[in-house]
Amino acid sequence: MNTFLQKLDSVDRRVIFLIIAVVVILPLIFPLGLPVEPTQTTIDAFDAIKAIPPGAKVLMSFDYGPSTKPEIHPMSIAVLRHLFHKGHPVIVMCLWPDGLFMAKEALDQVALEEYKLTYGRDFVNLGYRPGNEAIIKGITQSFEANFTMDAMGTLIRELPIMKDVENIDDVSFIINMSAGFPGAVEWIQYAADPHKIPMTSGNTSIQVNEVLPYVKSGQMQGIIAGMPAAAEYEALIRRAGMTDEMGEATSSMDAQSIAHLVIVLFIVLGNISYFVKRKQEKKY
Amino acid sequence: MLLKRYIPLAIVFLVGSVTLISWFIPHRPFGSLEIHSTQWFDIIASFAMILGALNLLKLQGTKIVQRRKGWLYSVAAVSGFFLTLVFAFLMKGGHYVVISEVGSNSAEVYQAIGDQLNLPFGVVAGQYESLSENGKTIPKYFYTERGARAFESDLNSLGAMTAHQEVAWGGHLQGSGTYFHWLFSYVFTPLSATMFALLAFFVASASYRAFKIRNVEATVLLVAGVILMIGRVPLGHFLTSWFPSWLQWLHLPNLQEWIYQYPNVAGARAIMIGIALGLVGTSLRVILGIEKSFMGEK
Repeated sequence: MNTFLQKLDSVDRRVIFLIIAVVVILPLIFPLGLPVEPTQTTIDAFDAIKAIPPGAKVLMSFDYGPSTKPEIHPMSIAVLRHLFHKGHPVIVMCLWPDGLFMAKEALDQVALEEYKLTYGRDFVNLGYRPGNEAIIKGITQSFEANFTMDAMGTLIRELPIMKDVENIDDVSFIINMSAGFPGAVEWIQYAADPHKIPMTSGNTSIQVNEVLPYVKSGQMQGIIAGMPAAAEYEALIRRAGMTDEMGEATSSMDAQSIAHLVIVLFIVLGNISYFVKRKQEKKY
Repeated sequence: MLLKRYIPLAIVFLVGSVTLISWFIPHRPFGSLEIHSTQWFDIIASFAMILGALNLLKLQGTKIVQRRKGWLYSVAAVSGFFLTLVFAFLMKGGHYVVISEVGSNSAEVYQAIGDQLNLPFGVVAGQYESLSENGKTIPKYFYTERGARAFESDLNSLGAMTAHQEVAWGGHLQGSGTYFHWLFSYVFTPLSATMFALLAFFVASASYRAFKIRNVEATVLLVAGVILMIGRVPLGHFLTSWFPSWLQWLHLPNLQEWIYQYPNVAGARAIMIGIALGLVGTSLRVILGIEKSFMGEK
């Protein structure tokens, strides 16, 4: 028994990879249907969006790419559903070059297919501009100086949604979907906080540590933290009757739950093996 | 000396001071100077992309020419770079057909459109029954002109009036059926997602080997990590939801939320404040010309 436990420490990593692959794939094929209970930070983000005055314009920045798409894209979809359900005009922009494609995909799905909205009137995609936080700083003075044209090549002054939108002070709420730099922190530091515009964000789990102090200080209204919070947001809009769809994050939660459990089991086994080994070493 | 040392130092001092002052005095002339300097930054950032591309070519090109270890990966990197360049600036794709009149064989035309769009006959008939003066775009995008022309001639042979069009330059970066979009959706996206997904396997393997209870600090870290991992997902709620109300503080989602919001935020704040103070010091050293490493000096 002791030899077996000692050997556990030197198990081939390919065995671990295989186990992880199996425990991720199986719940995706055979869902367990574990209940999703929203946490307070997600509820705060939901309530903040719910409290935006009717018809107010919202700025949404897509600052993530394909690598973090499975984690953040479901949040973008859920938040867009919430905004369009409430009838808010949404101005979309990107500080990441590949965010442009993420934005297009989300808008095509929610704005065009689900809500049959009109481009340029109900929503606009301003596209990507290089410059990171300098772009945020730039739009606090003027949108047109930084985005002369939208992503489709139309002059933004010709778009009905951009009428009366000179700078960031003309939007009522900022939503940032980010996976790193530039992202939520830069939006708070250069736009939301200095201009006193309420803001929330959706982030990868790994980024939450960096953003959470701004939530606790009240500079940000809640946070959608990682894929579990995306599932929670999906549950909230479902409960509010805004959609019947389960959502991608919810359907991935079983796989993530089991994967986390297996990783914890690995840690426990690794420690048992470590203690048995240490005991043996002390003995001799 | 003047060009290489004093003028760059003077520029850094001037721009740094103006940006700093404009934060506290956002009025003329500082406010407008700040707008201009951020726009200059945008322009320089765009040029930095060109420099980045040239640097990539130089590094990877040298590796290929000198046949260094892993030079085949460099061939893949350089090929990917040029392929993206070609699809962005030379080859566009995104051909489509606009229908202005359905003609007398409307049922067959609807059927042909439905076959291309994978839509049932009734849906297509509803969408294309009444057409505006400018016609209606059939949202089936072809990579080649030949593909769009073939579809167009099918519709023409059924009596429909159509016109061939292409997605505009610029719009092709986002438009469906363009080569650039294909490259992004079917090469870049799966490759990026794969790289990120591999992390799950490495995390599992690493935590198995490295997450050991060696001392008190490691034990605290491990316990907090386990609570977060289980408490953050629905399984945590499922496992401890039966706890009576007086034990709710031990409910795993509540415990993880507490760890997240208090000890974690305290640590994160300490790090952030430390970094901020360091930044203030470094920025002042750069503005005052004490720190000159940005000019290549020690």
